[in-house]
Amino acid sequence: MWILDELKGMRESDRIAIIHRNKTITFKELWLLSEKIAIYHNEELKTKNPIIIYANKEIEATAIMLGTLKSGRAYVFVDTTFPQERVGKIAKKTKAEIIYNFSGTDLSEDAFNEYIKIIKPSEFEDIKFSENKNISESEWVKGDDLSYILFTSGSTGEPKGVGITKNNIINFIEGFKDILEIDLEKVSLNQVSYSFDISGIQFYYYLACGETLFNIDSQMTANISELFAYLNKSKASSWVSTPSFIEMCVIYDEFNSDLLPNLSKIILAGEVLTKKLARELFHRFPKAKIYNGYGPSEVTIFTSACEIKPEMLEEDDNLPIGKVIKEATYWLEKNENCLTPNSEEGELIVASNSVCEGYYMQPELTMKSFFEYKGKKAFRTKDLVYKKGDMLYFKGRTDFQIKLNGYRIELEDIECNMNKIDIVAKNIVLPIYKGEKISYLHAFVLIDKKVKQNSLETKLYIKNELKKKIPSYMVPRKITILDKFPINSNGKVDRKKIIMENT
Amino acid sequence: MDKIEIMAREILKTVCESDEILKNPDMDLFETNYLDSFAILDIVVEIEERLNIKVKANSINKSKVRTVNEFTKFLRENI
Repeated sequence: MWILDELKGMRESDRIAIIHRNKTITFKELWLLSEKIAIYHNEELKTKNPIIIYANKEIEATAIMLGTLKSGRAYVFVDTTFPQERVGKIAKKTKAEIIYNFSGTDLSEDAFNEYIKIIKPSEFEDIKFSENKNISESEWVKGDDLSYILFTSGSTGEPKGVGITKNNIINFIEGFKDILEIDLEKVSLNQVSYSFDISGIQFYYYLACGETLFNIDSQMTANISELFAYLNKSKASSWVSTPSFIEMCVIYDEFNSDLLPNLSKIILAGEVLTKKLARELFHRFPKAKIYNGYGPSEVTIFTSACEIKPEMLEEDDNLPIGKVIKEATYWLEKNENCLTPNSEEGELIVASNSVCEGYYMQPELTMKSFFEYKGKKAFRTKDLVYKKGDMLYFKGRTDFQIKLNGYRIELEDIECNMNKIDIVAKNIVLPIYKGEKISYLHAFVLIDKKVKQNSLETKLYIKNELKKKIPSYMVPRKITILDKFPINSNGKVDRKKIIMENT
Repeated sequence: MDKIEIMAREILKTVCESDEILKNPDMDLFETNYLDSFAILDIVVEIEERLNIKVKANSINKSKVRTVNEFTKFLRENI
């Protein structure tokens, strides 16, 4: 199943495709608008380089994603939580000729090349009201062409782009159809940011099925009663989000089957799903089925998934991450990070048609994690996993990548960028757990001795400088300024000692 | 300082992992990354555990916990 083919079949339909606040767009209107955008790209741009969308959940963003695919290009969706400096880096790396800026703030030209076209909502109106034109299907992205590039936290301090092709996406849908399938002609809640690949479930599958997407934007989530009012209005029958987002809703008693009476499918992914949360969800939504999905973005949205059955709550193990996509070959590789000599545990290695090309324009980085296996691409996930029959269970990471509230973060990304701040000499960032979940990040910082310190002022300065370089959600909540860092016998910062002395 | 003010300070001190935030009770805790949308969850849990009351979805939002003073006001209005 490929979205452009499906939407073509619905191009005369007056059925509502997307709802956002008080705006709607039908499948017919969405088709026509995306045609115009595709023509605009071909007329105005000199290359087939990726285009950048800097937005949240505006209806126009979806039309631009479609128009981009129709014009044979890949889109790079950058959520508005990314600071301009990072967006600029992405623009330079992709040599993007155009950036659609729906963030509401002007982009400073210092961060971008002179030749880049910046399209704001007012300029977009011109495209919207241009005359209807058709683009030939021969222009659409082909099987091995990139559809999207997802820039994710990189341990070098530079964001790295995961490039996903049309064929990768088709393989994902084929592999997980039975988990994803929904009653047609219903409403699906569309909350996950388009910069996070699990939003691909709504975009590449549910929208393609003719489902109506009800958009939840980040401003709504800042105000719980407004959010709940929209949730109630949505009459959604399916929900896809991170466990953290639904957990934020569950804290209030009002979040139940009265608020969402049609909710029959809850798909959670992006971080560990705890039994506590699953148990509460069964209680709040007795008619709904709950699914847990797992997988790095490099393996197109899901690597494994399963339905969470109530019996699983009674088992000793944590909840499973499911069965690996049938088409894949996978194995668990032992390495020095395995905590037990258990033969059924190891780093998950997957060879599949869902494994992507690699990191965009980063051949060295790509070589470290990707390789060929019997004609398919294979990926070293760095996830420690164990098996019981067909089911996989997540144990931990072999590196410093963490999930904080569903966001994928390389701790070294934060550390590298913090070291760039003038007054910072050295730093380490530790995740602080509350039970199984990471509650917040704690940074330990060595300040340049020449700097006079007022503790609070210094900490605020560091946070502020950091926010210019990395997304807000990556800025550590707690900062401790140390006089010196303990060094271990290898001459490296002794992380273990810092943890022991300070927790 | 009355009981409510003390409680508000205690709760924010715990969630923000800092007693320095108390030095400036009008400082925007979101702008300074001491709080984010998910931290509001932690605040609600603290209120419910310490005060044995249920927080209603329509009573709390970002602006009510933005500063120490705003949060103190919120607690006062809701106990």
